Amino acid sequence: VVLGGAALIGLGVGAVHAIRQTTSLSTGADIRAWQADARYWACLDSQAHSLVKSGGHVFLVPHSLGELVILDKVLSPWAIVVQDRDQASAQLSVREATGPDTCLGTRLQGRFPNPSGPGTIVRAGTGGSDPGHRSLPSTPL
Amino acid sequence: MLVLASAGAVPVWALVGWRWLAVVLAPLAGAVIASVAGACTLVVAGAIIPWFVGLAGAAAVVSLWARGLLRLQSPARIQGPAHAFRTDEPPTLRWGTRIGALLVLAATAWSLRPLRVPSVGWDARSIWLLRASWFAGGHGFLAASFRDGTELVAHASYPPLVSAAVAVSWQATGVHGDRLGVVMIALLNACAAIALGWVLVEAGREAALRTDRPGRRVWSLSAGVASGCLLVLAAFGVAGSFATNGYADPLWAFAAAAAVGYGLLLPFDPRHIGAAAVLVLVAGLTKEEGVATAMALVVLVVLRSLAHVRSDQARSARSARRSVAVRRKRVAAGLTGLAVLAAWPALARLDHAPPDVNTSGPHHGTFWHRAHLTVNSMAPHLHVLLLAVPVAVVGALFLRAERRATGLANDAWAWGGLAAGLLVVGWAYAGGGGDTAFWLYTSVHRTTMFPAVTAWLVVGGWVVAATGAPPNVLREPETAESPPVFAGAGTARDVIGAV
Repeated sequence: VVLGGAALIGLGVGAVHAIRQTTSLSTGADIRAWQADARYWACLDSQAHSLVKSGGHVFLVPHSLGELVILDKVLSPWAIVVQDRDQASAQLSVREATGPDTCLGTRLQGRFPNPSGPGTIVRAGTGGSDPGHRSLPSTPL
Repeated sequence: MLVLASAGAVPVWALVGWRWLAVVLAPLAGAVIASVAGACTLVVAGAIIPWFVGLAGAAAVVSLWARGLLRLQSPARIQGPAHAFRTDEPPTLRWGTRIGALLVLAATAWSLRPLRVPSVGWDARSIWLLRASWFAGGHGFLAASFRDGTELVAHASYPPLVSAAVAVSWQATGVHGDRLGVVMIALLNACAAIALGWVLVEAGREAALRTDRPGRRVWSLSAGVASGCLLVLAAFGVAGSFATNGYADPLWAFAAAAAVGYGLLLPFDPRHIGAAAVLVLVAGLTKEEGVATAMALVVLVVLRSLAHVRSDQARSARSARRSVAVRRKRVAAGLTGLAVLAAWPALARLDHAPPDVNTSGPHHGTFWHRAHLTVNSMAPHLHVLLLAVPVAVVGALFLRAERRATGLANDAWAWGGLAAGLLVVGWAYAGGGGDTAFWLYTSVHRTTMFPAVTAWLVVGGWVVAATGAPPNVLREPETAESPPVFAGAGTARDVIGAV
């Protein structure tokens, strides 16, 4: 009885700790913060789709590891990322920007071969807008 | 979930029969079929849904055939649907089990409250949902993305279960969204958590079946139900936010811990081994550390089953020849399980998936320095051992007779499973490539989920064991394999043969 009771109390303490933790994970502030996170990624997704067709070949031009991760997360689910820019139908990068048609201070930019001559055509992503500079919730690894 | 459950229902029925547990094992088995469909999409051609439908049909036909074959060979060993919820059980037990099912379900539903928050974790977006899009994209897109050497974040070589299951849900519903993917993964986590909690409810039932005293029967069942519910809550506590933000770690950890429960803790019964087989497959097809741990669990379950054959043989010299054949079949079944678990890592290597960035690359620091770092990093996440180890030692010293009376196995088997999981992960940190300190910082709280949850399971096991009836009031079991109420439910040999 003593051992069983001690083990049960131990399990109970673990469960109470878990209940507190679970409760703290689902506050109204958490919901609003993660809704903002979802809007940000949806914004980037819309901009990327305005620049590249699904299944298209794309070359990523990041200026930092963070930009590479963002581009990878947005494009890899539906576009084929190539290692050679000559094989790509578009080169995509992330630019800092303000105002409408931006995603929390950034905007996707595409660089395309010019069909009527030398050089390239530069276009900004459209279709997604989440203006402002709010910080996103920290993402536990 | 319904699609996955439909695909997994018949194989689960063939393995574990009509039981409450089958309700949560069916979607998990469906996810296993989805992962095989994903592998076929990658290696052969086509899209994941036709493969999924075809493989689900094939699995159902094979299951029915195996079940029918066994019925023809040995009708007494197979129970039909009429025996699903036995009517010859004491009413206390029937109602206690139903109440247990409701309470475990309620504990799980409460633990899923954070799903109200639409969070998508780092790994969820960059690995599991990203790869789900690959699987949903069909052979050409999947193969091109899978072999992309520049892909840094997706971990192409990771096992396919979570991503393939999400891809099936997207294709089946036509809703290709992160939110659905995260909810799907959380529900699979929940199924594995219920299966885990049910180990202790089942332990309480088994203990109650082994006593004639109504009062003690209620004690055992209540202990099983209470500790099962608390175990579910504690398991979600160990997983934290990762249980509901799209991470795969809770799924493999819960499934592997539940496999420890069914395969190594509960009385040796073919249906428990069947449940362990499904859960081991889930763990082994979900994450890389799950593959190695699942293999270790297969070895332990086979060793336990061989020990069980030896004890049978000791009882009857006439069964010696039969025992040799049974032993061979169990070893063969174990080797088959190991081969199945090794298939995905081999496939990923043959299909030129980029190596995992964590386990490849230059080795930073000496083995012993990395091992020291690993132990120091793991310790804060394994405080439960400070409770589980003393409880197990005191239980082993003073409650051995009570534990045997409940039918529970020696928990040294469960500790073996826990140690195997710890060693696998510890060896990878200490002997793998890259910078261990950063790797530990970003993952040790997740890679220790399995040992932590298994330790909680052992604690719960002793709660039930403590309610065991003293030997002088024990009812003599009819067979060595099963308590009286399960007589005729079949042997492990039958199930392994059927599989």
